[in-house]
Amino acid sequence: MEQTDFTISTYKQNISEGKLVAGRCDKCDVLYLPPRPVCPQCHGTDMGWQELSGKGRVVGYTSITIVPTGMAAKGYGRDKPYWSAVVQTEEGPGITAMLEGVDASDPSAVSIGMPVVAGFNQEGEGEGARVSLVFRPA
Amino acid sequence: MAAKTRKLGRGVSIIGGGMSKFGAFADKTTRDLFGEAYSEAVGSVSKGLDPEAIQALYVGNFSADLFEGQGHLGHLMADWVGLAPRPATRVEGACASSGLAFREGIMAVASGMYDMVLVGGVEKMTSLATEEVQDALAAASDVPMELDQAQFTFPGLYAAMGSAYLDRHGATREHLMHVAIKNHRNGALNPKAQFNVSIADFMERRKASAAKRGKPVPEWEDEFDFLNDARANPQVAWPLHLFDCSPVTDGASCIILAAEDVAREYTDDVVNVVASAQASAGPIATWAGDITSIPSARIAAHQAYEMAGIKPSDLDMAEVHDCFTIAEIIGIEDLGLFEPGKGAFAAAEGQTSREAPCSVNVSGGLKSKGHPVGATGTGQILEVWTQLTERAGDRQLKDKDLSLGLTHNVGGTGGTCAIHILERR
Repeated sequence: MEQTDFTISTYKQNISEGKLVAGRCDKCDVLYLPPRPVCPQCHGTDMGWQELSGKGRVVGYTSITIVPTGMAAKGYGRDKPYWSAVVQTEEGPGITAMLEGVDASDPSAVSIGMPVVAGFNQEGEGEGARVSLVFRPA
Repeated sequence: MAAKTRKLGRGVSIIGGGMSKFGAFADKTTRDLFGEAYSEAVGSVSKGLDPEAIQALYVGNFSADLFEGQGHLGHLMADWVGLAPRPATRVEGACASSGLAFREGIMAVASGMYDMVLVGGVEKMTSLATEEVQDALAAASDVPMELDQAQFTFPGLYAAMGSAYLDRHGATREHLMHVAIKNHRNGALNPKAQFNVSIADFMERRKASAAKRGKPVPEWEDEFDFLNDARANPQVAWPLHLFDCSPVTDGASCIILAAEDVAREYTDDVVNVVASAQASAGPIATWAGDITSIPSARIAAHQAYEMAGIKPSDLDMAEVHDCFTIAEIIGIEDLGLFEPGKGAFAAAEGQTSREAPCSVNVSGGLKSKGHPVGATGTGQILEVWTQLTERAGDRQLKDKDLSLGLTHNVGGTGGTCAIHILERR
């Protein structure tokens, strides 16, 4: 991968291109999400990039019915909950993202350990277009 | 790694404290609430206090900026209570803001810089609608990752921790309900609590209200029946429902700290700070897949016990950060009061009740007393001081020799944790 700054902007730029990327400390061989310029283990700055497979498993989840105003504006709420989850990627780092493709009104539809895979949703077109990361059952 | 455990440079004592009533007060601002807590604190000093002796202020506040559009709070609080031009510093650590302010005050006195400081916290939250409050609180999460990417709300983040805990330890929503029932029962004894009513009494009020309005009277058999009724107790973020969540609250709390060597000039009931510990952690996604325990709380607890030279079993009481019911269960495990996985079952067996060897949240906790986020930390300290100095009125713990109490104050989902241990001397 091209060597770019270890910033949230770079992370988001990759998401917008349909790629989930982590930062890797070349010395410790440990991956970090979101990518960061300094390794928390060795405090070194020999960081590189690694694209992740997108495969992982659910380690925490919830179906949200009292929603933030941004989600309310999209029609989510008491009658239309959505899933948010904590996913442990198969390469190691954890990540928080929305979960799709499972009925959010049925809490038993998701379980701890459930295999999931990353997907990328495009919302809008042109200038306002935005790509968001989601996980779906594998 | 963490530095070697250190002792305070000199002893630090609490000589007084006070709080506003916690609740929803349309006509009160941050200043009004802080002023109430300040006045009660000064008035509580048993041998009297000339406020001129106070040398500095540390004020915990999460976000008057978002709630009231008011930043730069330290000097305003100092001016409001007549303590300008003394240095006044605002301290922010989300829901642990005033736990951190307390710690800053301790270190300022222990260093010898000051002999007496005022520490406190304040939050005015009810000026916004519930959804907007949720947006403001979400500013304490990792905004690009947890909010923008995952659309997690704060209840949602604790709900995710709850989903992992219930799955790993075979606990159920009923275990969580025990925490809410116990804390509301405790809060019913606390006149300053926002909801000073037990869930059983609340349920009876709802029945009476329905009967009075000529509506069908709900047939709840007991508190569990009530809490399992999705109309009475709607889901917020599974597995958490309304009665698993602390409320939106306006309130303030203040503590007056003095160097131990001058404390007896002000009171004979000296309560000393025997441990002050603080730790940080990254967002929950960075906890290596285990979100059933908060790393910063475990580390701060370990440091606090080491600093105080005590074991968890020596504690007589603990005020535990129950922003959600699952948070109290995880908290009592992180504090070493119960082994990992045993907290939910201990709560159901009454092992955290007023009568337990270590009573948990006798104030009513955040759940029933209320959670004005920036005021919560010193509010917890105040409860321990109030109990240790036998000022707690109807909720005074009487059947044990009270000497040691702990406070566990968590910012966010554990990005920040402050733990203090107080001892009656």
